[in-house]
Amino acid sequence: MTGMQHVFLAYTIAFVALWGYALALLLESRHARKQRSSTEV
Amino acid sequence: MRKHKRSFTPIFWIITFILYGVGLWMTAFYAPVESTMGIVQKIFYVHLPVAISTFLAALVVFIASLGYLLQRKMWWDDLAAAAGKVTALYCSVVLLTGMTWAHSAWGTWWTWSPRLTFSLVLWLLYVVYLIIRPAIDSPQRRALVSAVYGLAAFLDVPLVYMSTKLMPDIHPESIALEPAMQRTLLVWFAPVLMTMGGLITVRYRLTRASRVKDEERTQHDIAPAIAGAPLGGAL
Repeated sequence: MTGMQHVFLAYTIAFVALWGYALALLLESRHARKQRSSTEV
Repeated sequence: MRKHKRSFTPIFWIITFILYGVGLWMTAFYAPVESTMGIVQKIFYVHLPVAISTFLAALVVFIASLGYLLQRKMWWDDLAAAAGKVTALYCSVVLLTGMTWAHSAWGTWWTWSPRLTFSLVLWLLYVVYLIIRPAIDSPQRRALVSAVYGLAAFLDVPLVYMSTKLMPDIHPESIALEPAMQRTLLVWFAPVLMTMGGLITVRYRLTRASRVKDEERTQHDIAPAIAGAPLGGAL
């Protein structure tokens, strides 16, 4: 592996982990909000 | 007020995303290539902020655990649980980005140096924290055990930080940075810390909402049973 490939791998790991979890949480909170508003109606 | 909260969330994440873009641009085009390590040194810009964020997330677990032990309020436990998840996630990223750097710089993915070993222990401690929580049924018992564990787990954080100073270690203690490199590193701290704070907040709100819902459901189920029970039963 070249140095550039190592850098690319490290940044990909960081982005996938942090943004993957952030997106999962945002989707979950959106789902919870929808459920709450449907029960309120 | 609620409307403000909702509109704030997307703006917060958009700003964070833009700052990641700025950080990436600076890493690729603004920060010079380091003379000794070469291009692989650029991993440092994401590795260090994520490591510091791990310590801060672990500190939130510590404070929330202490808060629960002192006040016995369940929201402290919800905060500790949210921060515990983020600590485990961030610590995983620290280990993986560090391993990638080590493979290029040292020629090996892993070596049992004090800094790396204490970091692995830190990761294990918070993964175990997440495993033991759902294994305890009673919410009060779970909160108590988790709070004591959360306090004890934090003891590893100063060990990770001090390991390169206290013991001989292959891991660099510090790296001399040119001003352009320092600015790039500073920019990287913003989105990584914001993501950490945002993740803990969103996770905390979700856990809190779910707990409140569960408590309401329990009260709703128990109330008619108490009202319909004979006097002796109610007593």
